[in-house]
Amino acid sequence: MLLVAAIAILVTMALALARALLGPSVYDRVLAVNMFGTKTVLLIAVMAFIMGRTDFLDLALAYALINFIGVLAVLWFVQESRKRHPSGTGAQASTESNTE
Amino acid sequence: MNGILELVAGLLVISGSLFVLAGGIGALRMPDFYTRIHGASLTDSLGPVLVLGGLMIYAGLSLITVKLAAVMLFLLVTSPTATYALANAALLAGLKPEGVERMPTGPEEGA
Amino acid sequence: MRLMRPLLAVIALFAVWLLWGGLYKTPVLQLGIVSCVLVVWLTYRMALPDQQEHRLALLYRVPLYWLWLLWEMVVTNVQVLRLVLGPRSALSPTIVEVDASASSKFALTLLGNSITLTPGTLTINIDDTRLTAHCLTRAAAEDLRGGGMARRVAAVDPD
Repeated sequence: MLLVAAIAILVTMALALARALLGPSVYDRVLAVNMFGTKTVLLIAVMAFIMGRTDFLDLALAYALINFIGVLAVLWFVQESRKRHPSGTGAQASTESNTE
Repeated sequence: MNGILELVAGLLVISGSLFVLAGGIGALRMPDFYTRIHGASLTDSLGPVLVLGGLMIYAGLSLITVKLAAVMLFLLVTSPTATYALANAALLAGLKPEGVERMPTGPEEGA
Repeated sequence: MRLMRPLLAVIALFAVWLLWGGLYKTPVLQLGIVSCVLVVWLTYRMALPDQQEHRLALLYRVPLYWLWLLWEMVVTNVQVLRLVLGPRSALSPTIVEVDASASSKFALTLLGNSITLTPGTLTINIDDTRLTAHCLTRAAAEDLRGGGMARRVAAVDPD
Protein backbone atom coordinates (compact mmCIF):
# COMPACT_ATOMS: atom_id res chain seq x y z
CA MET A 1 0.00 0.00 0.00
CA LEU A 2 2.91 2.32 0.72
CA LEU A 3 4.15 1.60 -2.79
CA VAL A 4 0.87 2.85 -4.29
CA ALA A 5 1.20 6.05 -2.28
CA ALA A 6 4.81 6.49 -3.41
CA ILE A 7 3.77 6.10 -7.05
CA ALA A 8 0.91 8.60 -6.63
CA ILE A 9 3.35 11.11 -5.12
CA LEU A 10 5.80 10.50 -7.96
CA VAL A 11 3.04 11.13 -10.53
CA THR A 12 2.18 14.37 -8.72
CA MET A 13 5.82 15.41 -8.91
CA ALA A 14 5.75 14.75 -12.66
CA LEU A 15 2.62 16.93 -12.94
CA ALA A 16 4.38 19.67 -10.96
CA LEU A 17 7.33 19.47 -13.33
CA ALA A 18 4.94 19.79 -16.28
CA ARG A 19 3.51 22.96 -14.72
CA ALA A 20 7.03 24.27 -14.14
CA LEU A 21 7.88 23.75 -17.81
CA LEU A 22 4.58 25.21 -19.09
CA GLY A 23 4.86 28.37 -17.01
CA PRO A 24 3.59 30.74 -18.25
CA SER A 25 4.67 33.30 -15.62
CA VAL A 26 7.68 33.08 -13.28
CA TYR A 27 5.29 32.72 -10.36
CA ASP A 28 3.69 29.61 -11.86
CA ARG A 29 7.12 28.08 -12.08
CA VAL A 30 7.99 28.98 -8.49
CA LEU A 31 4.66 27.53 -7.38
CA ALA A 32 5.44 24.28 -9.22
CA VAL A 33 8.95 24.08 -7.78
CA ASN A 34 7.61 24.67 -4.27
CA MET A 35 5.08 21.89 -4.81
CA PHE A 36 7.80 19.61 -6.15
CA GLY A 37 9.86 20.28 -3.02
CA THR A 38 7.11 19.56 -0.50
CA LYS A 39 6.22 16.39 -2.39
CA THR A 40 9.87 15.32 -2.21
CA VAL A 41 9.61 15.56 1.58
CA LEU A 42 6.56 13.30 1.55
CA LEU A 43 8.22 10.88 -0.86
CA ILE A 44 11.32 10.62 1.34
CA ALA A 45 9.12 9.91 4.36
CA VAL A 46 7.19 7.17 2.54
CA MET A 47 10.37 5.68 1.05
CA ALA A 48 11.92 5.58 4.53
CA PHE A 49 9.16 3.18 5.56
CA ILE A 50 9.24 1.13 2.36
CA MET A 51 12.98 0.59 2.64
CA GLY A 52 12.92 0.28 6.43
CA ARG A 53 15.48 3.05 6.80
CA THR A 54 13.80 5.49 9.15
CA ASP A 55 16.95 7.59 9.44
CA PHE A 56 15.82 9.06 6.10
CA LEU A 57 13.34 11.15 8.11
CA ASP A 58 16.15 13.49 9.13
CA LEU A 59 16.78 14.10 5.45
CA ALA A 60 13.07 14.82 4.96
CA LEU A 61 13.17 17.51 7.62
CA ALA A 62 16.36 19.02 6.21
CA TYR A 63 14.79 19.03 2.75
CA ALA A 64 11.69 20.78 4.07
CA LEU A 65 13.90 23.51 5.56
CA ILE A 66 15.96 23.97 2.40
CA ASN A 67 12.86 24.04 0.20
CA PHE A 68 11.20 26.78 2.26
CA ILE A 69 14.29 28.97 2.34
CA GLY A 70 14.94 28.27 -1.35
CA VAL A 71 11.48 29.40 -2.44
CA LEU A 72 11.76 32.61 -0.42
CA ALA A 73 15.22 33.26 -1.89
CA VAL A 74 13.98 32.79 -5.46
CA LEU A 75 11.02 35.11 -4.82
CA TRP A 76 13.34 37.74 -3.37
CA PHE A 77 15.61 37.39 -6.38
CA VAL A 78 12.68 37.81 -8.82
CA GLN A 79 11.50 40.90 -6.97
CA GLU A 80 14.94 42.49 -6.89
CA SER A 81 15.61 41.82 -10.56
CA ARG A 82 12.23 43.31 -11.45
CA LYS A 83 13.20 46.49 -9.65
CA ARG A 84 16.42 46.75 -11.65
CA HIS A 85 15.15 45.65 -15.04
CA PRO A 86 11.46 46.54 -15.23
CA SER A 87 11.24 44.99 -18.71
CA GLY A 88 12.86 41.70 -17.65
CA THR A 89 11.40 38.26 -17.14
CA GLY A 90 9.20 39.16 -14.20
CA ALA A 91 7.29 41.82 -16.15
CA GLN A 92 6.10 39.28 -18.67
CA ALA A 93 3.92 37.93 -15.92
CA SER A 94 1.26 40.59 -16.38
CA THR A 95 1.06 40.34 -20.15
CA GLU A 96 0.97 36.61 -20.76
CA SER A 97 -0.81 35.28 -17.74
CA ASN A 98 -3.13 32.93 -19.58
CA THR A 99 -2.39 30.25 -22.11
CA GLU A 100 -4.31 27.09 -22.72
CA MET B 1 -5.36 -5.97 16.27
CA ASN B 2 -2.05 -5.30 14.64
CA GLY B 3 -3.52 -6.15 11.25
CA ILE B 4 -6.37 -3.68 11.69
CA LEU B 5 -4.01 -0.93 12.78
CA GLU B 6 -1.84 -1.54 9.76
CA LEU B 7 -4.88 -1.46 7.47
CA VAL B 8 -6.02 1.87 8.93
CA ALA B 9 -2.50 3.28 8.49
CA GLY B 10 -2.36 2.08 4.88
CA LEU B 11 -5.77 3.59 4.11
CA LEU B 12 -4.73 6.94 5.62
CA VAL B 13 -1.54 7.01 3.56
CA ILE B 14 -3.39 6.08 0.36
CA SER B 15 -6.18 8.63 0.84
CA GLY B 16 -3.56 11.27 1.59
CA SER B 17 -1.70 10.45 -1.61
CA LEU B 18 -5.01 10.69 -3.52
CA PHE B 19 -5.45 14.25 -2.25
CA VAL B 20 -1.87 14.96 -3.28
CA LEU B 21 -2.51 13.54 -6.75
CA ALA B 22 -5.72 15.58 -7.12
CA GLY B 23 -3.77 18.70 -6.15
CA GLY B 24 -1.22 17.94 -8.86
CA ILE B 25 -4.01 17.61 -11.42
CA GLY B 26 -5.52 20.86 -10.13
CA ALA B 27 -2.25 22.75 -10.44
CA LEU B 28 -2.04 21.59 -14.04
CA ARG B 29 -5.58 22.21 -15.25
CA MET B 30 -6.83 25.30 -13.39
CA PRO B 31 -7.28 28.33 -15.68
CA ASP B 32 -5.13 31.07 -14.10
CA PHE B 33 -2.30 31.54 -11.62
CA TYR B 34 -4.37 32.26 -8.51
CA THR B 35 -6.71 29.33 -9.07
CA ARG B 36 -3.68 27.11 -9.68
CA ILE B 37 -2.44 28.04 -6.21
CA HIS B 38 -5.71 26.68 -4.85
CA GLY B 39 -5.02 23.43 -6.67
CA ALA B 40 -1.50 23.26 -5.29
CA SER B 41 -2.66 24.08 -1.76
CA LEU B 42 -4.71 20.89 -1.93
CA THR B 43 -1.40 18.99 -1.89
CA ASP B 44 -0.13 21.09 1.00
CA SER B 45 -2.93 20.78 3.53
CA LEU B 46 -4.71 17.47 4.07
CA GLY B 47 -2.32 15.39 1.94
CA PRO B 48 0.73 15.62 4.21
CA VAL B 49 -1.44 15.35 7.34
CA LEU B 50 -2.95 12.06 6.16
CA VAL B 51 0.26 10.57 4.73
CA LEU B 52 2.43 11.46 7.73
CA GLY B 53 -0.41 10.57 10.13
CA GLY B 54 -0.65 7.14 8.54
CA LEU B 55 3.10 6.66 8.82
CA MET B 56 2.90 7.68 12.49
CA ILE B 57 0.46 4.81 13.10
CA TYR B 58 2.87 2.46 11.29
CA ALA B 59 5.76 3.59 13.47
CA GLY B 60 3.91 3.25 16.77
CA LEU B 61 5.10 5.19 19.80
CA SER B 62 8.77 5.94 19.27
CA LEU B 63 11.25 8.64 18.34
CA ILE B 64 10.25 8.12 14.70
CA THR B 65 6.72 9.32 15.50
CA VAL B 66 8.14 12.46 17.10
CA LYS B 67 10.22 13.11 13.99
CA LEU B 68 7.24 12.56 11.71
CA ALA B 69 5.20 14.95 13.86
CA ALA B 70 8.00 17.51 13.59
CA VAL B 71 8.08 17.18 9.80
CA MET B 72 4.28 17.59 9.68
CA LEU B 73 4.27 20.61 11.98
CA PHE B 74 7.05 22.21 9.99
CA LEU B 75 5.27 21.65 6.68
CA LEU B 76 1.99 23.01 8.06
CA VAL B 77 3.67 26.19 9.29
CA THR B 78 5.93 26.89 6.32
CA SER B 79 3.76 25.92 3.35
CA PRO B 80 1.08 28.59 3.88
CA THR B 81 3.83 31.12 4.58
CA ALA B 82 5.61 30.27 1.33
CA THR B 83 2.29 30.30 -0.54
CA TYR B 84 1.43 33.72 0.89
CA ALA B 85 4.86 35.08 -0.05
CA LEU B 86 4.36 33.76 -3.58
CA ALA B 87 0.80 35.07 -4.00
CA ASN B 88 1.67 38.45 -2.52
CA ALA B 89 4.77 38.80 -4.72
CA ALA B 90 2.68 38.02 -7.80
CA LEU B 91 0.02 40.50 -6.72
CA LEU B 92 2.55 43.28 -6.10
CA ALA B 93 4.16 42.51 -9.47
CA GLY B 94 0.83 43.30 -11.09
CA LEU B 95 -0.36 39.83 -12.02
CA LYS B 96 -4.13 40.29 -12.06
CA PRO B 97 -6.49 37.53 -10.94
CA GLU B 98 -8.80 36.62 -13.81
CA GLY B 99 -12.56 36.92 -13.92
CA VAL B 100 -12.90 37.78 -10.26
CA GLU B 101 -15.75 39.41 -8.54
CA ARG B 102 -15.03 41.73 -5.63
CA MET B 103 -16.97 41.59 -2.43
CA PRO B 104 -17.09 44.47 0.03
CA THR B 105 -15.84 44.05 3.58
CA GLY B 106 -18.23 42.15 5.76
CA PRO B 107 -20.22 44.02 8.38
CA GLU B 108 -19.27 42.41 11.67
CA GLU B 109 -15.97 40.50 11.59
CA GLY B 110 -12.83 41.29 13.45
CA ALA B 111 -14.18 41.09 16.97
CA MET C 1 15.84 39.55 32.56
CA ARG C 2 16.95 40.59 29.11
CA LEU C 3 19.02 37.43 28.81
CA MET C 4 16.16 35.20 29.90
CA ARG C 5 14.54 34.69 26.53
CA PRO C 6 17.68 33.99 24.48
CA LEU C 7 18.77 31.55 27.19
CA LEU C 8 15.45 29.72 27.04
CA ALA C 9 15.75 29.61 23.26
CA VAL C 10 19.23 28.05 23.49
CA ILE C 11 17.98 25.43 25.97
CA ALA C 12 14.99 24.57 23.77
CA LEU C 13 17.19 24.27 20.68
CA PHE C 14 19.66 22.08 22.53
CA ALA C 15 16.85 19.78 23.68
CA VAL C 16 15.88 19.33 20.03
CA TRP C 17 19.53 18.65 19.17
CA LEU C 18 19.69 15.91 21.84
CA LEU C 19 16.42 14.42 20.61
CA TRP C 20 17.57 14.32 17.01
CA GLY C 21 21.19 13.32 17.38
CA GLY C 22 21.07 10.19 19.48
CA LEU C 23 24.86 10.39 19.52
CA TYR C 24 25.98 11.51 22.98
CA LYS C 25 29.74 12.02 22.68
CA THR C 26 31.51 15.06 24.07
CA PRO C 27 32.62 16.69 20.77
CA VAL C 28 29.13 16.27 19.32
CA LEU C 29 27.55 17.89 22.38
CA GLN C 30 30.06 20.75 22.27
CA LEU C 31 29.26 21.30 18.62
CA GLY C 32 25.56 21.26 19.55
CA ILE C 33 25.92 23.97 22.20
CA VAL C 34 28.05 26.14 19.92
CA SER C 35 25.60 25.89 17.02
CA CYS C 36 22.56 26.55 19.24
CA VAL C 37 24.18 29.72 20.62
CA LEU C 38 25.18 30.73 17.10
CA VAL C 39 21.62 30.30 15.79
CA VAL C 40 20.12 32.37 18.62
CA TRP C 41 22.78 35.06 18.21
CA LEU C 42 22.16 35.25 14.46
CA THR C 43 18.41 35.46 15.03
CA TYR C 44 18.77 38.34 17.48
CA ARG C 45 21.25 40.09 15.19
CA MET C 46 18.81 39.79 12.28
CA ALA C 47 15.75 41.11 14.11
CA LEU C 48 14.70 41.34 17.72
CA PRO C 49 11.73 39.00 18.20
CA ASP C 50 8.61 41.02 18.89
CA GLN C 51 8.13 41.66 22.56
CA GLN C 52 4.54 40.50 22.80
CA GLU C 53 3.78 38.77 26.08
CA HIS C 54 3.67 35.02 25.71
CA ARG C 55 0.75 33.81 27.71
CA LEU C 56 0.56 30.21 28.83
CA ALA C 57 -3.10 30.09 27.81
CA LEU C 58 -1.94 29.96 24.19
CA LEU C 59 -0.33 26.58 24.91
CA TYR C 60 -3.66 24.83 25.17
CA ARG C 61 -5.81 27.19 23.09
CA VAL C 62 -3.69 26.86 19.95
CA PRO C 63 -3.83 23.01 19.82
CA LEU C 64 -7.60 23.17 20.38
CA TYR C 65 -7.84 25.61 17.48
CA TRP C 66 -5.73 23.24 15.38
CA LEU C 67 -8.24 20.45 16.00
CA TRP C 68 -11.03 22.67 14.72
CA LEU C 69 -8.84 23.72 11.77
CA LEU C 70 -8.16 20.06 10.95
CA TRP C 71 -11.88 19.40 10.65
CA GLU C 72 -12.30 22.54 8.53
CA MET C 73 -9.46 21.31 6.32
CA VAL C 74 -11.20 17.96 5.76
CA VAL C 75 -14.41 19.71 4.68
CA THR C 76 -12.77 22.22 2.34
CA ASN C 77 -10.39 19.62 0.88
CA VAL C 78 -13.30 17.48 -0.25
CA GLN C 79 -15.04 20.56 -1.73
CA VAL C 80 -11.94 21.62 -3.66
CA LEU C 81 -11.29 18.02 -4.75
CA ARG C 82 -14.69 18.10 -6.48
CA LEU C 83 -13.99 21.50 -8.05
CA VAL C 84 -10.59 20.39 -9.34
CA LEU C 85 -11.92 17.27 -11.02
CA GLY C 86 -15.23 18.80 -12.08
CA PRO C 87 -16.08 21.20 -14.91
CA ARG C 88 -14.39 24.59 -15.09
CA SER C 89 -17.75 26.39 -15.12
CA ALA C 90 -18.18 25.53 -11.43
CA LEU C 91 -15.46 28.04 -10.53
CA SER C 92 -16.44 31.55 -9.52
CA PRO C 93 -13.26 33.28 -8.30
CA THR C 94 -14.02 36.01 -5.80
CA ILE C 95 -11.88 38.47 -3.88
CA VAL C 96 -13.03 39.32 -0.40
CA GLU C 97 -11.65 41.60 2.29
CA VAL C 98 -11.76 40.68 5.95
CA ASP C 99 -11.52 43.40 8.57
CA ALA C 100 -8.63 42.67 10.94
CA SER C 101 -8.05 46.02 12.61
CA ALA C 102 -8.45 44.65 16.12
CA SER C 103 -6.04 41.70 15.83
CA SER C 104 -2.58 41.31 17.35
CA LYS C 105 0.30 40.32 15.10
CA PHE C 106 0.07 36.74 16.28
CA ALA C 107 -3.65 36.52 15.55
CA LEU C 108 -3.15 38.11 12.14
CA THR C 109 -0.49 35.54 11.24
CA LEU C 110 -2.64 32.68 12.51
CA LEU C 111 -5.67 33.91 10.57
CA GLY C 112 -3.70 34.47 7.35
CA ASN C 113 -2.07 31.06 7.51
CA SER C 114 -5.35 29.34 8.38
CA ILE C 115 -7.04 30.95 5.39
CA THR C 116 -4.26 29.77 3.09
CA LEU C 117 -4.16 26.32 4.67
CA THR C 118 -7.81 25.62 3.94
CA PRO C 119 -7.97 25.05 0.17
CA GLY C 120 -10.40 27.25 -1.69
CA THR C 121 -9.36 30.39 0.15
CA LEU C 122 -6.00 32.09 -0.17
CA THR C 123 -4.56 35.13 1.59
CA ILE C 124 -3.04 37.46 -1.01
CA ASN C 125 -2.43 40.62 0.98
CA ILE C 126 -2.24 41.65 4.61
CA ASP C 127 -1.96 45.15 5.97
CA ASP C 128 -2.63 46.53 9.43
CA THR C 129 -6.35 46.95 9.01
CA ARG C 130 -7.53 44.31 6.58
CA LEU C 131 -6.71 41.04 4.95
CA THR C 132 -7.45 40.34 1.29
CA ALA C 133 -8.30 36.80 0.26
CA HIS C 134 -8.80 35.15 -3.11
CA CYS C 135 -11.50 32.48 -3.08
CA LEU C 136 -12.18 29.75 -5.60
CA THR C 137 -15.95 30.07 -5.36
CA ARG C 138 -18.53 32.63 -4.25
CA ALA C 139 -19.69 30.26 -1.53
CA ALA C 140 -16.21 30.06 0.03
CA ALA C 141 -16.01 33.86 -0.03
CA GLU C 142 -19.39 34.13 1.70
CA ASP C 143 -18.16 31.73 4.38
CA LEU C 144 -15.04 33.80 4.97
CA ARG C 145 -17.07 37.01 5.10
CA GLY C 146 -19.31 35.39 7.67
CA GLY C 147 -16.30 35.64 9.96
CA GLY C 148 -16.47 32.23 11.66
CA MET C 149 -12.74 31.69 11.36
CA ALA C 150 -11.89 35.27 12.39
CA ARG C 151 -13.99 34.86 15.53
CA ARG C 152 -12.24 31.62 16.46
CA VAL C 153 -8.81 33.17 15.95
CA ALA C 154 -9.87 36.15 18.06
CA ALA C 155 -10.93 33.71 20.81
CA VAL C 156 -7.46 32.10 20.73
CA ASP C 157 -5.66 35.41 21.23
CA PRO C 158 -8.10 37.93 22.68
CA ASP C 159 -6.33 41.29 22.29
